[in-house]
Amino acid sequence: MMSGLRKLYLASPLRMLTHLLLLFLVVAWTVPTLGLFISSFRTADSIDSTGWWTSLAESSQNKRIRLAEANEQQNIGGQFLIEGVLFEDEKIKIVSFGESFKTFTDTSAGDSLTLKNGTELIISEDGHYQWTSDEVFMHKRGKRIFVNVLIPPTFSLDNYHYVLFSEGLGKAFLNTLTVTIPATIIPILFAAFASYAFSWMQFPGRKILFVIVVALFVVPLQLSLIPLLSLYSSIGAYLDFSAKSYPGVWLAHTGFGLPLAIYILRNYMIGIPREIIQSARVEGASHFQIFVKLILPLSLPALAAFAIFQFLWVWNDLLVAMVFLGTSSDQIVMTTKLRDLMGTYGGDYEILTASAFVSIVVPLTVFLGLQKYFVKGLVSGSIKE
Amino acid sequence: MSSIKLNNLYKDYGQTNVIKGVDVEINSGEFVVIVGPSGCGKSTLLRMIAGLEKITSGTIEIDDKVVNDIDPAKRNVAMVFQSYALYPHLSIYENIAFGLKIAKVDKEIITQKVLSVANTLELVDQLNKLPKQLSGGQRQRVAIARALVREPKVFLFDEPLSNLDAGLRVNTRIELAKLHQSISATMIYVTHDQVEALTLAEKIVVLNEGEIEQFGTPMELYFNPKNKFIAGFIGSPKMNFIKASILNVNKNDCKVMVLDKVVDQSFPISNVKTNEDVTLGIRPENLKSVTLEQSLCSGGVELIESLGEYDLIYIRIPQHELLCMKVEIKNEIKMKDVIHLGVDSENVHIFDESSMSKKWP
Amino acid sequence: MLVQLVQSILVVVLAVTVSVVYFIAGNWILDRWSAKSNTPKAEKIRPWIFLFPALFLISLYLLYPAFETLRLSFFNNSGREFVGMQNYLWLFQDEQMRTTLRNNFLWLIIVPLLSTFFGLIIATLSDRVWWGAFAKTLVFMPMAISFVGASVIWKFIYDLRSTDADQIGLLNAIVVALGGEPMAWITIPFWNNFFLMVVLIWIQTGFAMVILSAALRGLSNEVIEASRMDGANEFQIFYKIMVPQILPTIIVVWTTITVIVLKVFDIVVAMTNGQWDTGVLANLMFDWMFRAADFGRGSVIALMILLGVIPIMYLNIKRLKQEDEI
Repeated sequence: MMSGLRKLYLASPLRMLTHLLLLFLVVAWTVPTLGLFISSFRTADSIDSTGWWTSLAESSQNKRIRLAEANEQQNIGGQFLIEGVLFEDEKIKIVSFGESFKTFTDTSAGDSLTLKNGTELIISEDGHYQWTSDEVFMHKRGKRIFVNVLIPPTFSLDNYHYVLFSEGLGKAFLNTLTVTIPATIIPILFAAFASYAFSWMQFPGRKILFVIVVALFVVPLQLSLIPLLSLYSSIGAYLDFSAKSYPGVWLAHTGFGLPLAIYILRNYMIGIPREIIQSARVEGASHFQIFVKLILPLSLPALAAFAIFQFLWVWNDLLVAMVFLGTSSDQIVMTTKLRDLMGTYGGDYEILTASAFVSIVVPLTVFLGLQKYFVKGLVSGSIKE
Repeated sequence: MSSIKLNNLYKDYGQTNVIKGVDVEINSGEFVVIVGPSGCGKSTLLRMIAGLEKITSGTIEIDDKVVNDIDPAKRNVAMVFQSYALYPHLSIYENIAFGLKIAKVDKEIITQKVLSVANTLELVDQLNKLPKQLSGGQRQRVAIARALVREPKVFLFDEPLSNLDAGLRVNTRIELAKLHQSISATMIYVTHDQVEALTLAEKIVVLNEGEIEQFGTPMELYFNPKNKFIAGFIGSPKMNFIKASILNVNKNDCKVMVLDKVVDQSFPISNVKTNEDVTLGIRPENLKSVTLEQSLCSGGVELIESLGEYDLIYIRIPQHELLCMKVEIKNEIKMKDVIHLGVDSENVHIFDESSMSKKWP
Repeated sequence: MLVQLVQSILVVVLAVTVSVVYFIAGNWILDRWSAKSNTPKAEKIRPWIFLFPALFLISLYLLYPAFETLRLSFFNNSGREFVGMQNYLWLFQDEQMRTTLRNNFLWLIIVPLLSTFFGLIIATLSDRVWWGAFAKTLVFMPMAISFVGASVIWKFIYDLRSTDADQIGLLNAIVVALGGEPMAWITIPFWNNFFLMVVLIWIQTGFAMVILSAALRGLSNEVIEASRMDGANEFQIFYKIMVPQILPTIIVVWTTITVIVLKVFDIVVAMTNGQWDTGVLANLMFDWMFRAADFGRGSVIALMILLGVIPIMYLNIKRLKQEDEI
């Protein structure tokens, strides 16, 4: 169908511009996530010293390091010598070195440098150094020098290991799952029944009730927080139960998610040909049988779409979790945890990037795997076909 | 097999009256076609019989029992929908078996019945397929099979052939007629196509704007239409209408004037007054080319449609729609010829100009 | 640890079972009853069995709280003492409130505008290249990322290091490469609002793109070809033929994003926590409610957010009514 248009279009000089412009936009939209992803595998040092975009190349870093202490000196024919290796890692290459932050680029690796106290220092490219003096070395702590080094790119899962097991993100991950699974399935169930009634049953007030439901799905949930929290506290106090609990969050997400669920499902169900349902009625099926045997199987795409939608929304939610769940380790969810980490470790991106990636990996997988249904759901919710 | 009685049936949607007092009596085993222009309420009427539409007032009786408040499920009727309404996620077998399963019929009996029906309708090879894998004609047969398998008292068809192409439509029509003969169940069939109505029906209900114009056998409707609407609706190409006024009335006949021309012909009708306006209805096959003296009116040929078996000649006369004359193919009529149109008196239907009701025959 | 997960799965099973039993039992009782009395009354009750759980939860979680919030807005911080319009007066006099309202206003204009704009551009462009589907997936991807996760991503981009070290934040690195001075972007009052908005635009563009792309594909190809035959060029076809036809969809996208903007909370709380004059209503409400524990003022701010969505609510209902009449 597009082919005629396509052919015309291919001949147009705009074609190149289209590719370039789209490429630019796509890169702009992708690079932020890419930066996070790459950084999460880098060491704290390398994140701090160089931009992640340089991480695939050897990175040039400036380091302070101490030479060995005086007790390692050898006396070789009246000359005193301290020998050693600057870095354990053999892959690190020394480019230049110097005594201070201002002069460390002046002497290249392999050359010899006369230090201020008259001693001589030679550092070869592989990090071996020879430090010679005419007098006995007397210093207690090793001398501090500055080196400029080339470090080959290294990536590791260390950050992930740390955040998952030492920072408690692993527990938060489980908590998030605990919140998300019931909070996704319960609203689907209730919404499916209600949507069927709204689409295919006759009852007084059908229109006005549906209008109210649709009106409610734009109501900011901020409006609900204070009264619900009071309600939860009083019920909690009455039942001797904490006001912040998983059932409370499940029900809250269910309540907040229902209007959209009903809207999406009803829009879909009403598109099922009326004759199919009437045919089943003439064949003797009751409303319940029609619902179970026809509507549910036929609405699977919409059910899937809403499931994905609700899953992403609950998984990514911060506000409801902050209000209705505690921050102790057995209740804190990943979004809250991540926000806490942002407060605690403002600039420690090795922790933040890895944590953020842990928190987005599940929704991202769900999303990429089931994108088709998600798009369908979004579209059917927004455009009446 | 059951009889159906509709008594003074009304249906309103808010302010709009869709069905306005319909009375019909359908005998057991009859094939009745409800026909009418689109929007006349024929589908609504059928759906009221099925129980899918609420009744505003009046009653529907099946086997002398009022069923107004009975759920469609319990009326023991089967319906074939225009779109076939097959369950898209179920196999053909499951589609046919659906109603029986709902009714909790024994599994073996279901299999037996489905197979037997599938056999009749040549669907045995399709039983494991999904509806979308079938052609239009096959789907239509599944829809019929689904109705058939339940052995209902009444079959309802809602324009079942309108989604088929022309060739298939004729075939299925013949199949349906055969089917009715073999099971002789009561069938009610809605269509807007009067050819379907004439060929299938034992009796036809012509519905117009929610009211019955005429209820009778196809031949009654064709040869003895009650009014101008029926006359124009039944028959293809449709009846020609020519305005005329009565000149002088005798004891048993009268003369008329068409387009200011006195027609030299007597019409056997006397329940008219001088100067009264009437409409003459003449079917295309009854119009013929005559001499000027014998003619009703004259006009130029504007279009000739050759249909092989016969030709349709369209003639323009002033102040009228094109008149259509059906003639044998061996004729010498050419475009722009002037034709003098005549008719035998006994082949003329005469309608009252104001009430449209028939005055003769 | 896994115990917890097993519990939540059990809850799902339990919830599903209970609801299924509820529906089956409800229908069964009705069937019995209608078989006995043989009246259509049972059919009048049945819809309510289908509707009850959903309507109950919606009433409890959305409808009742809305009215309760309205009531609380006339009460003092503890919600016990009636104070009349005092909270409302405070709302219009508070200095911080003015900044917040200004910020919210900026968010409401800029985020929907730019998200829809970029969404439309990308949708149009990607329908014309062979790798369009891939491009769309990449642009759509941020939709799956939480606002907090996105905040980490963008905070990293805005990061500032001392002038003598390498900049590890992408934005400052670019600025330095172009010869500029690196800056602490999210602390510059007024302009920092825009750097926060970028995060939401980045997320919502994918949404706008997907919906608009579907609408564009629904357009009749023949109409576009006809306009081409009439001599329209690519740009004219775009803004004279295509855009007017998808205008209703553009409005839907716009209003949907507007609703999201009004509720935006996570981004501000994670990026700046409302410091440096970046507060928006949702954050202010949260602060008054949980930091200051002032239910009255919290409620008033919540009602302000509601005020923002009322026009959209009205539009939605109007649209629904039109659809229903067709």
